[in-house]
Parts: sequence; C-alpha cells; structure tokens
Amino acid sequence: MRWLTKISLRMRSLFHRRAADEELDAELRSHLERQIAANVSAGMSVAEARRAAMREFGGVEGVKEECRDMRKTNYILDLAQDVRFGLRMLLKNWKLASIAAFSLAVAMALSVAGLSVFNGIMLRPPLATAPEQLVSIFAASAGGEVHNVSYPDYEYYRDNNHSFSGLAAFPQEIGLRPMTVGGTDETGTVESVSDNYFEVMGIRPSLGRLFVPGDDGKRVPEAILTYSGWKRWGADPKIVGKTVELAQQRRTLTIVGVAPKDFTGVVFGFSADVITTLAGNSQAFIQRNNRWLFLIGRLKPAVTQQHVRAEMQTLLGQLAAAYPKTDKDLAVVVTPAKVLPSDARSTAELISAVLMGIVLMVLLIACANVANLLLGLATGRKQEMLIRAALGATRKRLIRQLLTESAILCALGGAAGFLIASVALAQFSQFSALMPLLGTFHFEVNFRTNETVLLMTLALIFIASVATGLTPAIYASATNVAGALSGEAVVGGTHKSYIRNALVVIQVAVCTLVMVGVGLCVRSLQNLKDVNLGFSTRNLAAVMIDLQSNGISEARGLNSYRQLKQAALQLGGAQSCSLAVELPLIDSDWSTDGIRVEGASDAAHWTQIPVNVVDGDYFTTLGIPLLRGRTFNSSDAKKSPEVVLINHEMAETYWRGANPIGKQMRVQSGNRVLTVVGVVGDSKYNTVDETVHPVIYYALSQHYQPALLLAVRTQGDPRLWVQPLSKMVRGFGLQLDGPPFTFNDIMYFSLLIPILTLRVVSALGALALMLAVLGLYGAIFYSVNERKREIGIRVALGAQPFHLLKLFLRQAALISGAGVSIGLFLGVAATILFRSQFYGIRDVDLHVLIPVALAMVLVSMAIAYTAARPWVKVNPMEAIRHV
Amino acid sequence: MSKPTDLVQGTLDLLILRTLTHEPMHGWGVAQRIRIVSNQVLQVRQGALYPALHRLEQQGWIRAEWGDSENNRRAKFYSLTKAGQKYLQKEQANWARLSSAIGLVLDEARS
Repeated sequence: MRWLTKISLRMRSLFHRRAADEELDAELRSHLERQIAANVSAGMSVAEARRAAMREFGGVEGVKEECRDMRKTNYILDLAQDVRFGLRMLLKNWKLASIAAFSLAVAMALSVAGLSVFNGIMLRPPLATAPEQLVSIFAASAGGEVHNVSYPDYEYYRDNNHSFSGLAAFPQEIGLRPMTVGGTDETGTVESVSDNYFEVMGIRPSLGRLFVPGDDGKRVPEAILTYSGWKRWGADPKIVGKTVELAQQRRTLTIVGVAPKDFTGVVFGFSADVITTLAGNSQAFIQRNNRWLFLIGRLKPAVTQQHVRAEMQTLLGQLAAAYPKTDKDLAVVVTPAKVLPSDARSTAELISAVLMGIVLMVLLIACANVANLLLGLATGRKQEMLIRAALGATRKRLIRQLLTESAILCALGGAAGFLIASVALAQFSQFSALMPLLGTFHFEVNFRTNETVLLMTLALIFIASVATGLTPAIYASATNVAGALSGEAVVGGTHKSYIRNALVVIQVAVCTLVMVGVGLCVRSLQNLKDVNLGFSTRNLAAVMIDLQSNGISEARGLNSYRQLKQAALQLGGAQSCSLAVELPLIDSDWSTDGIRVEGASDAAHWTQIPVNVVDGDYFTTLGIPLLRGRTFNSSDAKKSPEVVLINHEMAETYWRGANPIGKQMRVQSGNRVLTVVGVVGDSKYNTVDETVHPVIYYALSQHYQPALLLAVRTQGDPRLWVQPLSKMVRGFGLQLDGPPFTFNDIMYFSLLIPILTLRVVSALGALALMLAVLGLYGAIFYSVNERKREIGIRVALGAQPFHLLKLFLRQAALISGAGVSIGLFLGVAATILFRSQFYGIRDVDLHVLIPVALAMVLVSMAIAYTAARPWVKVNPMEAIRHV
Repeated sequence: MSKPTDLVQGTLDLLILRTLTHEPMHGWGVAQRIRIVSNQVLQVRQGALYPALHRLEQQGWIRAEWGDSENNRRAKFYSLTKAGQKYLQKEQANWARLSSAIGLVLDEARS
C-alpha cells in the first residue's frame, strides 16, 4: 500500500502546491516559535531568543527549498516554470524570436519534406500484406550494372525454386493508350503484371476478383481496373464482365475486377488505369537477352535471404550452363522489396543523399541563426543570471532554464515546419502532367509524413535544441557572483564574440558550399546545352509509324513507306524527310550487333556495336555530314551485296586514318559480310552527355523494318507540322502509336533531370542564402550594439563615421572572408566527389568558384554596411550617453 | 558548545524513526528528544531535520497529521507507519551488525 500513499502525496504536491507550501510554512514557523519560547524560558531576552533560534535553524528559504525537493515533483514544476518564463522572455524579444523561429520553420519544413521523400522512395515497401517477406530479385554484371530478367529466365526461376511461396514478374512499362471501356472511348494508362502478382502481394479486390495463376494463358485475355481508373470512368458497380478494347493492339479484354484503393499500379510514381496480364506472343516472351521483367517474390516461412541468394545463384548457374550466350557472367542480387525499381535505386540514392546533404546544411544555417540569437539574448541577461545565482540558483538549474528556452524555439519551429511540409506534400502527392511524346499522365507519388518521419523530426528537434541552446546556456550561466557583487562591470567578454563569429563563419561557409552546388548545376546545364550534338535539332519533327500493328506485311510495307515519304514532302514547307529505326536522343538503348573486323586488334571475338537502320535521306535530313564515300541509294537492294555506313569514330577505331571505303567486316548473326560504303560524322546517339562511340548504319532497303520513325525537316517552327503530320498518317488509314513530336521537346526531355535538379538546388540555395543573410545581419547588429560604449568613446575622441564604418566593415570582411574561403575549399571537395554527376566540370572550376566567391563577399559586405550604418551615423552626444 | 558530531548519512533517518516509535511527535520534539536521549552528544542540525522528515513522509515510512499540542498550539505530528516499523527493524539490525563489526575491528587494533 506504500505506493498508494506515495502517489497521493505526489499528487497533492503537484495539484495542491499552495496548500502544501502553506503547511510547510506553518510547520517551520511553529518550530521557530517553540525554540524561541524555549530560549526565553532559559533566560534570554525575546530579541536575543529570536536571533539565537534563527541562527540555529539556518537559512529558512533554503530549508524550504530542500523540503520541496523531497517531494520529487520539482522537476515537473520547475519545467512548467521554465516554460512559462521562457515564453515570456521570447515574447519580450518577439522580433528576434520570430526571425529565429521562422528560420527554423523553413529549415525544418525542408528537412521534413526531405525525410518524407527519402522515406517514400528509399524505405517504403510496395503495397502488400506482410511486405517484410517480399524480396526483389535482379541480376548484376561484374561491373555492377543492374539487369532485369527475361521472360524465359523468369519462367525457369518460378518453376524451379523452393524458396518462394510465389514469384511474380512485371515490366516497368506504362503506356498511355486510346481504349474503349464498356462502350465509351477513353484514354488510359496500361500496365501489366504476371497472373500470380496479386496472390504473391496479398492484395484483395474491391470489386470482382483479381488475377489468379493460369490467367496468363487464357484465350480471352483479362483486365483489372485500378480504383482510380474505375472511379474516373464512372464507378460502374456492374463493371465486371464488361470489356476494354485496346485499339492499337487490337485486343479486347474482359474486366474481371477492380483493385483496392491503395493500389496505384506497379510503376513507381504513376497512377495506372488498366492492369493486364503478361499474356502475349511477341518476341519478348522467347528472347533470353530481352531483360524486361522485374521480379518480386514472397519468401516461404523460415527461408533466409542468404538461402534464397544461394538457391537463385544455383538456378542462374544452370541457366548459364544451358544458355552461355545470354546468361553467362551474371550474379543474382536479392534485396528487400521496395517501391523503387532496382535499376533506379543507385541514382535515387545519390540524388537523395545530395539533397538531404543540402537540406541538412540549410538546417545547420538555421540552427546557427537560433544559437546566435540566444547568445545575443544571453549577453543581455548576464545580470539576471547573476541575481539568480546570488539567490541560490545552481548552475545546473540555470542551464536547464536556458535550454528550455531553446527547446521552446526549436519545438515551435519544428511544429510549424512539420505542418508546412505535410500540407505541401499533400498538395503535390498527386498531379497530372503533359509529357512530350506521350500525353497526359497522372502521377501519384504519395510522399506522406508518417510515424517514421515524425520520429525523425522529433529527433531533429531534440538535436537542434541542444545544438542551439547549449553554448549560450553554458556561456550565460558562467557567473562570477563575487565579482559582480563587488561592482565589476557586466559586459560581454571576448570569449562570447569568438563563439558568435565562429557561428557566422560556419553559416557563410555552408552557404558558400550550397552556392557552389548551384553554380555547378548551372554550369553543367549550360555545358549540356552547348554540347555539339553532331546533328541539327532545329526544325525537326518526327512521328512513329508501326505498319505491323496496322496489319501491313513486308510485301506491301516498302511501298507504304515510299508513299508516306512522298506525302510528307508534299506538306508545305517540308524540306526533306527520312525513315529510320532510331533517331538520336530518343532511345537510350540501341540494339547492337556482334562485329568482327579483319586485322583489328580485337578481331578474336565479336564486339557489340550499336546499329541503326536508315534510308538514304537520313543524313541530309538530320544534318549529319557525309565525310567519305556515298550514302545509300537505289542500287542497295535486297539481293545486292550488304553495305553499311559507319561513323567517324568507328573508322578511327578500326582503320586509323586509312580509307575504310570498300573495307569489309563480319557480323555475328549469319556470319554475313558487310562492306563499308561511306563514313559520316559522329553525333550524340543515346544521351547528351555520352562519350563518342562507334555506330553502324544499315540500309533500310536491305533490312525491312515493320516499325519506323519518320523524321521531317521543316521550314520554321516544327510545332506547326505536328497536326498536319498526324493527319497525313491517319490519311493512310494508320493508327498512331503516339502523337508526332518535335526535337525541341526531345531536347527539353533529355535535359529534364538537370533542369529539375537546377531548380530544386536553386530553391534550396535561395533559402540557404536568405537564412545566412538573416544570421549575418543579426550577428553584426549585435556585435555593434555590444560595442556601444566603445563607439561612444571613439566618437567622443573625434572618430568620424568613415572610421567607424571601416572598423565594422573590416570585422565583417574578416568573418565573411574566412567563411567564404572555407566554403570554397569544401566546394572543391564536393566537386571532386560528385564530378561524375555533372557534365564538363573541372575539379577546380573557376567559372563556378569565382562568381560564387565574389557574390558571397559582396552580399556579406552589403549586409554589414546595412547593419552597421545606424550606429555609425549616430550623433556624438547620443553616442557618449552610452559610455 | 562543542561542534555537533556529524551524523553519518542515513543515520538521521534511523534516529528519527526510532524516536517516533514511542508516540507521535512534532519536529521540534524530535530534535529535543534526540539531544536529551543522547546526553547532548547528538545535536540534530535543525535545517537538516525537516528535509529528512519530509523525505521519510514521501517514502511512506512516517505519516503526518496536524494536531493540537500543549497550550493549544497547532503542530504537525509525525507517527510511524507499519511499513516504517518494518523498515526500522531491518535498519536497526543492520546498524547493530555494522557497529559491532566496527567495534571488533577497533578492539582488535587496540590489543
């Protein structure tokens, strides 16, 4: 029962504190009265008796405080008192406090958003029941390059493993297609999954049923609507049994069910409408070198990841032995399943690491701001601290109180930041965007603030409170009671100004570092824009033509192509046009052929070289110069000897300046002989930032292609040709696989990531700069304020405003100079670390460093001038008053 | 007046509890009693007495009640709880063992 007594006593001292205190008072008073009475009866005078009693008892207030401490509830009461007092202090200095809280709120909002994105991308498992049992499987080559899995390999894994209760596969492909849903024409996004996907993931339907194993092979193909697709198309409760017609593929699918609300599809970031099975009879289901599938498996109970790895490696070994051509030299990688596909993870890791780094730097600047503010306040409160110490407050108690104040600031800033970030993330978690080439897509990124993020935020707030509060607290609580009581002046010592200057140096350095980052992005983007592409993107429009899916065979195809080209040239203002399998910068992955050149150093084995199939007008249309020989012409027919054009790099690699015209090479498939008839200039093929590599061009007249791109060089704005082009193609009775596009779109698209990176980094840089400016201003303002006396004396001795200004500006120049130097040094280190992510950047890139350094120095001097000016202009009479 | 013998940490608690076994007492009474019983040797510093009383109360060894004392003065009377009695017995046994042990060591050193 003792604990009951204890609790009731604690409660009493918490909630009836006044009564408890009054009792304590009465008890001690009655003690003293008794003692006095005893002393009087021992023969002392009343006054003497009182004095003796008091002396014997000791400090009454001290005893009272000790008795209160015995109640053990003082921590709570002290905390409440500290919070109340802290709030009062902050309200009194509300201007500075709100600057500090605002700095923190901005930085915390960024941190929370950053953490949520990081959590959403890197940590979140895909939607599934018991996602911790899921692993994703992919293959990696010796160089660490990530490969996905081909369909036949997937089948082998699925049917021969003993580790998984289910192994599902899906491509990371999403297509926007015209379709007819239950009789109405719509446009929707289509994704596909293997028939066991929903079973493996443990996802339950919200209507009808989802796919079950065996659906892949069904004669009548099936489809599932996602919840958002179903909703958008009228939320028909009787949708099951109706059909989806995909016009281009000429497929009619029966809808069997609707997926649950949380399921947005298998491609990260996109919101899908229709999910189909993997059924199909295209080449992709037979080819072992066509690695288009992502694998996700559910582990059987008690199967460890090591065990899976070992088993999958064994299975891959069996495949490699059976199909050495395609499956050799690969290692299996098994990782816990995440929403992000395996091949995007390393890029995402890098991007999120860099962004989190910058975000933390912004937070650091904000913390320095708050620390500086508190330090400023602490100076003004030295007197207060002395009085408290003189009244018996211990140093621990003083530090606790000051830390409470910084904790209040950080909690306010953190809460505001969390709120801002939550609202902002909710705003941007779903959006639609029109993508060039493709159409309007619905995105669903779902970066929500959740418990994980909340916990990390609380940790950040705690760290920030200690980081911002400890130095000022230790400084302010270092009291010298005896010195102060004997009349020693209480002014800020030099010690504190070191701390403050160090804080500002850190701010300027970090800000400079972030600015160097902005500079690198700007410069890299500029370099990318200035790259010599090797072909002309001006006034170039193109459209994809798929004869096969339109049911046109090879026999009629060549004729159709000829007619299409003629029709394109009839369009007013079309200068030239060409048909090709690949156009530069559209496809990041050209197909390759194994090539062997007689007499070359690597003639011992087949070298894979990217190939394109083009017609004779390709080079004039794209503006690629013909350096030697001829382009394809009508003599290059199906039956005549096979000819190729090569690019300059290929000529240099294999013939080193000798004339390659007429030289021959062998191609792996069929061991055919190819004869070089011409050399064309190098250009960019896959990406803007690639290095030049050999390329071979085949003649379209010798290699019929069932699907091609038609490129048209126009006069004037190519966008004006988009409509006529699609009308012309439709005029031939052909379905368009996608709308025509211009190379302006392509260029924008291929620079999208650097452009977006630049925007994000610039926004962060602007914030960092703003916070650093606030910090610098505050620091200089305070340090001038502190030197009021000195200014007064100097003015009294005849100092002119000019002299004073020089004094302050010199101080500011020293501080910002140190900060900028450190920042530039860190910037160079960061450049070296991340150089591979930028284009055309040197280790010490003066084009970046010099402007950043100049800007930072100028900005800080301007701030110093603004902060110091009011003091410099002060009237001498006014100044002397502070002495 | 000679300097009061410093009380070993924790001994004060023992003295207070022992003093309270006879009857409920107020703080001043406890201090007087300890002094008289110890033949003026043990002088409880009054500043230390009250924090100790409050601590013992918080721990549930003693209980406090307001009551009237001699010549109608109100005072806070402390009395031993059941738990306090048990605690005292245990501590007294401990003390006896400790002091006899110290005595043995000192005796041996003398001979």
